[in-house]
Amino acid sequence: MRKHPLLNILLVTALCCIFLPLAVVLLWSVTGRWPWPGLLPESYTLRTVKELFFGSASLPKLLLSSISLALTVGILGTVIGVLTARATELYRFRGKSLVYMGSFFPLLVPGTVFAMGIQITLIRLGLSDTVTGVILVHLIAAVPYCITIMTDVTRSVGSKLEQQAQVLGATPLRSFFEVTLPSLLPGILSSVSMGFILSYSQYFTTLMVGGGRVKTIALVLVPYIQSGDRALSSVYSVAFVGSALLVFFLFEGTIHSIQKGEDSL
Amino acid sequence: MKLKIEHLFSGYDSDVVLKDLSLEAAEGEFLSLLGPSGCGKSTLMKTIAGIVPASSGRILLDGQDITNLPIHKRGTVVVFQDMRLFPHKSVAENVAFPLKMQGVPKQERLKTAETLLEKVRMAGFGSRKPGELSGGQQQRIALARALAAQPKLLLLDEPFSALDENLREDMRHLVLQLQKEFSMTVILVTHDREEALSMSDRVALLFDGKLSQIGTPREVYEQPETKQVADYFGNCVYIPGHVENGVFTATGIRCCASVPDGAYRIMLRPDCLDLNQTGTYVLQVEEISFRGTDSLICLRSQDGTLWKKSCAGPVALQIGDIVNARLTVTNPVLFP
Amino acid sequence: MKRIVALLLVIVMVLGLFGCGAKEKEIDPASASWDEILAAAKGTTVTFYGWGGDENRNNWLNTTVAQHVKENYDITLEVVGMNIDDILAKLSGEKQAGSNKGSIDMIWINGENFYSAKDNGLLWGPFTDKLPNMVTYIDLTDPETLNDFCMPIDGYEAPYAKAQMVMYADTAVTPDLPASAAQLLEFAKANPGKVTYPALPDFTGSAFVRNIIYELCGWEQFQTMEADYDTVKAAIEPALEYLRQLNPYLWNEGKTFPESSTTVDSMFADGELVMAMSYGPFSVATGIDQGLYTETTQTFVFDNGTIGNTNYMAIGFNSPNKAGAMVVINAIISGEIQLTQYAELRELPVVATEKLSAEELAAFDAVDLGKGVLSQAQLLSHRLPEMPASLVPIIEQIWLAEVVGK
Repeated sequence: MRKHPLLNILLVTALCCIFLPLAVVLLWSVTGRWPWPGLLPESYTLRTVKELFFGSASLPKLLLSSISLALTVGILGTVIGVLTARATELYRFRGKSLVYMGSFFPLLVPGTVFAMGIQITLIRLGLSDTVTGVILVHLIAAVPYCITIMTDVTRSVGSKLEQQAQVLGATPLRSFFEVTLPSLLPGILSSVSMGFILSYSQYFTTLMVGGGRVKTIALVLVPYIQSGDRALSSVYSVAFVGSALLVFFLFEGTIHSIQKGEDSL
Repeated sequence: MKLKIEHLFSGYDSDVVLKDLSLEAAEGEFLSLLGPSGCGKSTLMKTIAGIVPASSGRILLDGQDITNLPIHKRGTVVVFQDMRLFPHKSVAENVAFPLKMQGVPKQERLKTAETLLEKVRMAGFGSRKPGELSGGQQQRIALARALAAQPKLLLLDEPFSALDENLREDMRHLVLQLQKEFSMTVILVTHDREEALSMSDRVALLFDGKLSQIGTPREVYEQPETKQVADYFGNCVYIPGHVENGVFTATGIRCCASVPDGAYRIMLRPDCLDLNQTGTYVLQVEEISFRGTDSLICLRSQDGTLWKKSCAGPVALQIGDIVNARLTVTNPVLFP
Repeated sequence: MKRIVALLLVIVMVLGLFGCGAKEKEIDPASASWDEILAAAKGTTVTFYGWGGDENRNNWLNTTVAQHVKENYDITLEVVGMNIDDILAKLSGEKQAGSNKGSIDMIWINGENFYSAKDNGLLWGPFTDKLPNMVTYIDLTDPETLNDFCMPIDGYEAPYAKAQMVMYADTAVTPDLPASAAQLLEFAKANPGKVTYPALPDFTGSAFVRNIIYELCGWEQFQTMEADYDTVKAAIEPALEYLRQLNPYLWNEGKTFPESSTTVDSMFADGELVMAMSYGPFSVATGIDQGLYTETTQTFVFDNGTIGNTNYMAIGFNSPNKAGAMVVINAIISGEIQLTQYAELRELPVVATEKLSAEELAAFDAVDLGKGVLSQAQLLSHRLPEMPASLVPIIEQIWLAEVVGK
């Protein structure tokens, strides 16, 4: 099938829409002055890069805590997603549709409203200002997405292969791990990525629930954007996007090597 | 392995498919479950395997009650119509899978897998992926895998219907060969009459979730117990007549019958009609169709019955000819 | 599978419970002696919540100040960046939930926010009377020590840094800088569409309008004015008239205004505007240093003076470490730390020059403030006090109704 020339135009336009803004941000991160109508900055500086790496915000520590928090949310959310999807797709029980509908409620309530409403409960539970509290609230926001993704994948994978494995002598648990899980992996990758990026980019909920004690890169980034220091905001944005992409690639690479590794079992 | 099913009721949710079904299979027997779609043969097979839970009744395998055992503990292995090879594992790993579940070490089980692959004439395919194989090849791998599990009972759920005509013959041969070699008890679910009749020791006919008749292929074909069974094998005509004092009479027919007096219909198949011999049964040729390997001749008898007879080789008759054919009836099948 | 997940959740939760730092030892900070307070604060962590958008200040707090309190008092300072609205919302929520041990120790606060926080019982105090450095370094008679936007402080907050409204322009582009409201009008006419101020209720925009009001209506009458819409409107009518006259020459003809001072700053840096304003009197020097403004950018004030105010440090009502907070606040108002704030951040110090020793004074004078700024003396001699906090929202309302788009 030959590619329609219009398709090429659309493709190039889409790529431009993604990469041009990123290129501008990248440029801004080392800009000194960039008055209109210059196409390029008038002056450059490394002030912001120095600030990023050697400033008191301690970038490595910040990235580590942000990434591990977001990964925890992604993984826990996916576990919940896998289990819920199995329950709704493969089992019959009373109130099943209620459970399924209920899992979407977090999507209806805006994050800001939710964080403020749950604040009092969290304070009483002693979870306010803790990492656990933040993970919990992020999880509630991420779970609907994880469930949706895993439901689709679980439905398409079905239970046929598992049945086959069981008649061949595999216990239900083993049949899941040996046979169903490998087929679910692409969906799991999506789900963990989704949960990760949802948590990674949370600002207000982390602020409210974590009380400023739980530090993530988004939390540090937003005040700089608000302060109008465009170069510094840009360099932190680059760090934000860059670190997220890095995690994605590492994660996808791991999944692929797991899939390859299975072959040589 | 002796299989005994007692008063089995089974189905999905509120839908009862199997109604009070009882049957037995002897050790080393090849039993076919035959019937139209929706008759419950797949459900029966799934209930035996444990995929569908039984609502009441018992299933005994080798004397052990397996009715409530989980799937993986029953010792019943199923080969499905859609083969269900594990896509992420290689062919060898697929075949070795049951052994892996039994805890057999890697070297040993891969060796066994290779041996089994030879048996199904797929030697050397061990490192391939299922996705690279054709339908027939996949089916053979599925068989090898089932054998690796050393099943007490092998269940085949219409395994050949997805294959080409030519392949089907080959596969049937292979299955029978393996069955004899491993002395397995096999239950084959199929809707293909020829398949059931040619392969089985016994055939069980199911209609509407009930067992209609069970017997050797010849028994069920020549001595159907119900009209349903007779019609299922098709290719028959019913001629009305009556029985008096142990003799059945109809137009041009006369034979012994061991049924009470009354009005009956006799079921006759075209094989009892011999056009080359001269007899008392008069028919007129209505149509002749050439079908390549044979010709189909449509004849109408004096009582109005339409016979369809296939004749191999050149046909000397023409449309409109009157034929005096011989009708041989042994063991007449009579229905009220 | 379920068991593994349950185990994981339990582990995560247990770990979460052990997340906090060392807490205050059991003394009553309201009645303890300074030595007892110092002892109780030793080895503890103090959190300092405030706006996190100034990276220089963040660095100064995290390095200079943090090191100082660690070395001298063995206190770990944890700086948390959070907007004052969010801080107050958090305290409010905690008060509602009856939480007695929160996580906010010190708060960077002033003006209307201090007023409403104190009113709603979100702050702990009075405490400034306990701090030795209040006596050593701070002018206790200065109205800005006693009042915040004309509201009595009553010892609930200690001075942090002084701010003063200044304006700035690029002398290479506009060599003549206006020194009064009348000159500003001419300036705008000469540069149509290139002058504007942030929309109220932005802090800086609000201050600019108040400056104009002072220029045209005098400042004394507002110190004791009643917070009544009509009274205020009548009093500021001349200023409203002026602003309406100014509108046609402003950016976008005064139909809309940029939403914050940071936007105005960016527009100035980009050359869209020829003038901007800020509460940080030496911000131009920092800007030139960082390459954000041209070398020829210059700060200016009105001859009649511009509004100055102080910003403060307060303590949260449910601070878990009030003793530690007091020790850190005490350290920050010391001459030593105020000097570093002056030198590193270029912010006006709160210490009274009369109370400084000769050495300390020399140290302050030796600081090079950088390019494009006015000296401390020039600023302080052109400084006007704030009006009562209660009037500020009223003026903002009036501006929205009477000036925008008119």
